[in-house]
Amino acid sequence: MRQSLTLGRKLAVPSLRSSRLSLSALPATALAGCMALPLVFLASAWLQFDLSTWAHLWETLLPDMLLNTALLVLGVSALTLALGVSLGWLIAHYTFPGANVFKVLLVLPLAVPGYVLGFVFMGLLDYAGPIQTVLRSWLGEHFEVEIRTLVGAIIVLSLVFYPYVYLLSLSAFREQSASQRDAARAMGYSTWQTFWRVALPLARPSIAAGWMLVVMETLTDFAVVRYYNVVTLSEGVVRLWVGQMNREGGLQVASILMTVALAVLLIERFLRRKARYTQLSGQARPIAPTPLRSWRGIAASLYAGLVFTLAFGLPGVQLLLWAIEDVSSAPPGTLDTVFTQYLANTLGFALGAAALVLLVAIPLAWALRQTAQQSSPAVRSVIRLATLGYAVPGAALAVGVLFMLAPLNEPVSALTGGAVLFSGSLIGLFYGYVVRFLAIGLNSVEASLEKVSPSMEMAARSLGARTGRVLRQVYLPLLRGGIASAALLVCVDVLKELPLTMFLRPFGMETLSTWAYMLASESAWVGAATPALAIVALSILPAALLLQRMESLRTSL
Amino acid sequence: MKTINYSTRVALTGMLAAVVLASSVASPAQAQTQVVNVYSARHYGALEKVFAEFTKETGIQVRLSSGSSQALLERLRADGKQTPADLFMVIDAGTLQLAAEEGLLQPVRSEVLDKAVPPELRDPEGRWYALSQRMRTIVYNPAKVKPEEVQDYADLANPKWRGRLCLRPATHIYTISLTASLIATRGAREAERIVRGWVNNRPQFIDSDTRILETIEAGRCDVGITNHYYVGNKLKANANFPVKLVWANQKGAGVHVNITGAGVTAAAPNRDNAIRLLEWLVTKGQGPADTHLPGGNSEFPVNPSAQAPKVLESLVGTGFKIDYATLRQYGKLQADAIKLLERVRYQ
Amino acid sequence: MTIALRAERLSRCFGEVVAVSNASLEIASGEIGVLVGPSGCGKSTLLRLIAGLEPPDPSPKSRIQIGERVVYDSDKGIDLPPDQRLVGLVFQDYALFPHMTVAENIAFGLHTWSRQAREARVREMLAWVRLEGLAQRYPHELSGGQQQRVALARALAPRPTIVLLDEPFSNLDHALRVELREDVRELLKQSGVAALFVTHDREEALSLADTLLMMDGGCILQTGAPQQLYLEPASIQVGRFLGEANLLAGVAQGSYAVCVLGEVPLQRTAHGMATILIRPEALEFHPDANGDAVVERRLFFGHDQLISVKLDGVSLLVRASSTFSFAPGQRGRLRCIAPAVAL
Repeated sequence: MRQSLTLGRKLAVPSLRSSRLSLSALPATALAGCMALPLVFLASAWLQFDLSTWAHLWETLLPDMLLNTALLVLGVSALTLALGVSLGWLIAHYTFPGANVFKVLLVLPLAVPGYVLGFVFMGLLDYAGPIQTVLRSWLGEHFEVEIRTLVGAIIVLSLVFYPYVYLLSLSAFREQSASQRDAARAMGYSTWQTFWRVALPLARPSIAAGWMLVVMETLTDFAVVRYYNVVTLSEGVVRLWVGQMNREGGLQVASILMTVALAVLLIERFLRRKARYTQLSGQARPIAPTPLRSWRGIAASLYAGLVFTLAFGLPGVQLLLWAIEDVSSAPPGTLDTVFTQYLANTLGFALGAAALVLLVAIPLAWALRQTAQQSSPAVRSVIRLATLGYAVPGAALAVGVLFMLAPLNEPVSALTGGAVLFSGSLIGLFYGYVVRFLAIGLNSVEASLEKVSPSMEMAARSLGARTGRVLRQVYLPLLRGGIASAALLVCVDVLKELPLTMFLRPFGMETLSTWAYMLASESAWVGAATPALAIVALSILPAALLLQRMESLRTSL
Repeated sequence: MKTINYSTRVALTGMLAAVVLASSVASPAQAQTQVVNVYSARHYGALEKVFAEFTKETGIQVRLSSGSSQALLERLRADGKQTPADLFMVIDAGTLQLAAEEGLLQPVRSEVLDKAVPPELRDPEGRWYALSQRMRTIVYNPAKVKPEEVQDYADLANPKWRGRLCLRPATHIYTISLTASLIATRGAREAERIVRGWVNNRPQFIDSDTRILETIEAGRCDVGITNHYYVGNKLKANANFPVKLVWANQKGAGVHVNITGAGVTAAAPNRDNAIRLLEWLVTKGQGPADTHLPGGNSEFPVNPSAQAPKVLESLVGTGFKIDYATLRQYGKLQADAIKLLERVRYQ
Repeated sequence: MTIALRAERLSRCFGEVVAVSNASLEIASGEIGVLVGPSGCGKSTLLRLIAGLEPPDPSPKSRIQIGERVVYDSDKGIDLPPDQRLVGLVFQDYALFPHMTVAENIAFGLHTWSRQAREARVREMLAWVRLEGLAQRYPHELSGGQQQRVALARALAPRPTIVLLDEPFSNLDHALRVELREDVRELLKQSGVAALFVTHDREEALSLADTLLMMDGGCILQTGAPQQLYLEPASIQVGRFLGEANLLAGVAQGSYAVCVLGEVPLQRTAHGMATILIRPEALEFHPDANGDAVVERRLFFGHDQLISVKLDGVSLLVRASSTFSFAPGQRGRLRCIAPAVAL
C-alpha cells in the first residue's frame, strides 16, 4: 500500500517530494544526454587525430578557412552592430515620417534566409546583372564592382542578420528609464554623450545577446559564402563531406568549426558574466520619443527605408518577378506537382520537428523546474549542455549526427530487413532538428512554466486536486500559449533551415530550402525564386513573435 | 496510476502524431503498376518530359530521386543490397566508373544497347552506357579575342589572360573531371602547370556556365571554359548570341568530353524495366526534339544514327576530334584532380 | 478541547542542513497558532511537512494528526498525499490561478460538491470576505488585499480542519498589513477554524497568536501565550527575538537579582550567576542633575520613544512616554519598575 502510494506520487508530482528527486530526474537527464551526444561525438573527433589529413588540410584549405571565417565574423559583426543599434536607437527614441511602420518592416528581413538574399543579390548585382549593366552604360565600360568577394558576403549576411541586433537593442533602449537619461543630461552630458556613456552601456547585455545570435548564424552559413567564393569553415565542411566525400577531412573541419562556435559562446558569456543590469526601481518612467523635424526626419526615414529596401523590398520584388517568369515558362503541371510535393515535405518536417522538440522540451523544462530549488548541478548542466546544439553550426552538427549514427546503420538495417537506415533517414533528420532547435522550445516552455508558481501547484493539491486535475486545470491552460509559440518558432526555423536538411534529409526528399539552394547554387535563379518566395511568405507570418523569442533567447544564451 | 496513464497518453499521442506526419510525407504511394526507380543527377524539368513519353509508350511509371552525382553515389553505397534504385543516372563518367568498379552496377548486355551506343561511350562489361555527350571547351568574346589564341586549355595559362578569364569553381564536378582528363592525357606535372597557370591569371570564379557566358558577353571576361550546350541553349534563345566557342585541343587528343550516363544497379528490384528504360533512352529517346535527352539540352546524342539538335549544326562545322580515350579514367583520377586543385589554390 | 492538529517528533534534513529537528506541536480547534522565528529557522519547512508537501525524515514515532485523522505515521506507514489531508493553504504570493475568475478560484476545492452546494458555498465565502461584487473578476484585476482575501476564501471554502498560512502578509505594505491582520484574525475567529501561521515578524506573531511557537535552528524553543513568551522567555534567544531587551550580567539570589541597576525583582526565583533580561518598558528614567545615568541617544516613534542610557559603562534601553523630552548628555536616575527574568 505504502509502496504503491509513494511510487504513484513520485512519478506524479516529484516537485513536491524532493527526496525522490534524484530518481525522477534520471529520465530527463538521460534524455538531455541523448541530445548532447552528437556534440560529444564531434568533440571526440579531436581524439582521432590523423596527421596526414591535418597536414593536407593545413597545406591547402584550412588557413584560408580560418582566416575567412574570422574576417567574415568580424565584418558581419561590425555591420550588423552598426545597422542594428542605430536603427534600434532611432525607432526607440524618435518619431519621424513612417517610424511606426518601419518599426515592424525592419524586422521582416529575418524572413529572408541568407541563401535567398545571396542569390538575389548575385543575379541583380554581379557584373552581368542588370544594375551594373545600367551603371556601365552611364559611367563607362570600365566601371566595375566585384561582388563575388568576402565584402559581398559580409554585406548580404549583415542585411539578413541585423534584425537580431535591432530587435534586442530596440527593446533594451525602450526599457531604459527617462530618469537615467535625465540624470545624465543634468550632469551636463549632450544627447550624443548620453548615448555613448549611459544608454549604450546599459543596453550592452542585450546587444551582446543579439550579436551572439548573429555570430551563430554567420558561422552556420555555407551557402552565401559559397555563392560569393569565400571558403569558410562551414563551407569547408560541405565542400569536403558532401562535395569530395572526404570523411576524415570533413569530420576534422566540423570539429574545428564546433570548437570555434563554442569558444565564441564561452568568451561572450565570460565577458557578460558581471554585466547584468536591471532597472533598479520597479516603475521606470519611459522615455517619450523626440520628434525629428525637417531634414533630420527625412534623413531618418531615408536611412530606415534604404535598409529595408535593400534587405527586403528589392529582393522581394525581384523574387516575385522571377517567380512569375518561372511559373509562366514552366510546362503546365510540372511545377505544380513538384511544388506541392516539396511544400508538403517542408511542412511535414517542420510540424514533425516542432512536435518532437516539444516532446523533449516539456519533460526537460519540468526537470529544470524541479531541480531549481535543489542543488543538482549535474542534472542542470547536462540539460544546459543539451541546448548547446543551437550554438553549433548546422553543417558541423549534421556531421556529428552522421558520424554518431553511422555505426548503427548496418546492424539496424540488417535487423529490420533494410527498412530502417539511420543516416539519411527521417530518424537522423528529426534527431538533428531536435538537437538544433531544442533551446528554442525549452526556453518558451520554461518561460511559460514560470507563470505557474510552485505554490499554485501546492494550493491546487491542498484543495484536493490530484495530478491529473492539476495538469488539466492549472498547467495546461497556462502553458498553452507558450507551447504554441514554441511550436511556431521551431516550425519557421525548420522551414528556413538549410545545412541540416541538406545533410540529413532522406534521399530524394527535397524541401523548399534544399530546392531553392540547389537551383540557386547552379545559378538557376529564376527557378529558385518560386520556392524562395514561398519560404519568405511563410516566414513573415510569425515575425510578430520574434520579439518574444528574442527575449527568451536572451536569458539562455 | 490514472495520472501516469494520462501523461503517457499525451506523450504517445504526440509521438504518434509526429511519426504519422513524417511518414505520410515519406512514403510515396505504393501502386501495383510497373515502375522503375531512377536515381538521377539531372534536375527536374527536362527529365519529366522525357520520362512522360516513355511511360506513355510502355506503361511503366518512372520514379525520380535526384541529387548531385556525388550524393547519389554515396547513397547507392549506403543502400547496399536494399537499394530501391533500378537505374543510376549521373552527369559524370567518373562517378559511373567508380560505381561500376565498386560493384554497385551490374553488367547488362543487349543487342539494342550494343548497336545504339558506340563502344567508346559505354563500359566494356556493360555496367554503364552513355545517354548523351557534352564537351567542356573554350568560349571567347570574338570582339576581343582571336580564335587562334585559344586553341587549347593550355593556352588559357598564358599570362596575357590575367584578369580576363572566367572559370567554374573547384567544387563543381565539371572542373574536377576536366582536371582529371588533363592529368590523364598530359601527365600530372603538365596538368598542374596548366591549372596553376589559370589560377595565376586570377580568374573570376562563377558557379554557373550560363553566367560565365553572360559575363563574357558583358565584357568582364574575354575567355572562359563552359560546356558546349550552354552556348547552344543561348543560341536557341538568341541566334545572335555574341560569345563563340572553340573545340579545344584539336591538335592533340581532342576536346574534353563528359556524358550523361546510366547503369542498372547491382540489386535493381525492377531490372527488366530498368533495361527497357535504358534501351529506350539510347534509341527513341535520342531525338533532337526538346522532349528528348540530347535535344532538350542541346547535347550530342550517343546513337550514331540519331540526329543532333539543330542548334548545334553551326557549332559543329566540319566536325571535330573528341578525347574519348580518357573517359573511363575520370573516376580513378578524381582524388588526384581534387588534390591538384587544392594544391594550386584553385578556388 | 478537541485537537485540530497534533504533530509529533517531526524532523527533516536537506543533506547536511537540519531544517526541522524533532518538532512537536499541538493546535486546538478554533485556536490560532503562530510559528515565529528568524528566516531560515525551519518554520516554513515544518508547515510543508504538515501539509504533506514535503516528506518528513523517517524517524521512529513521528506522527501527524489532523482533526481525528492520522495523516502521517512513520511506524504504521501512513502517509496521505496533500490532496487527502484536508488542510487549507494560503501562500505568501497567494497562488491564485490567473486564468480563473474569483468565483472559479474559490470553487476549485469544491469539485466534489453538488453544483448547488458549490454555488451557495462560493456566495457564502464571497460574502464572508466582503467581495460579493467581484466574483467574475480575474485575480490581476484585484488589489493586493483583495487577492489575499480571495486566497483565504479559497482555502477555507472546502471546510478544512485547519488552515496553514505561510507568511501571508509579507507582500503587503505596512499599513495594509496591520489592517488586514486584524481582518483575517476576525474572519478566522468567526469561522471557528483552527489556523497555523508562519511569520518572521514578531509584532505580527504577538498580535495574531492565541498560542505562539517560537522556532530557531529547526527546534521549537518555547510554546505558550504571547504574553507569557514575551515576559517570561525560557531562553535568551526567545527573549531577544520577541522584543528589545537589556541583557545584564548579574547574580540571582532567590526572588531578586543584583546587577548594575542594583537589586531588581525577579519573575521567578533563581540562584547563582545569570543573565538578567529587563525589557525597556520595565525601566524608568528620572531626570536628576546629580544622577549617575547619562542619556546617549534617543529614537522617537510617536506613540513612545526609546532612549539609550549609559550607566557605569553599560548602555541600557529605556522606553518612555512620548510626552517627555530628553537631550543627549542629560543626567538622571534609572529605576526598575517591573520584574526581570534571570536566564
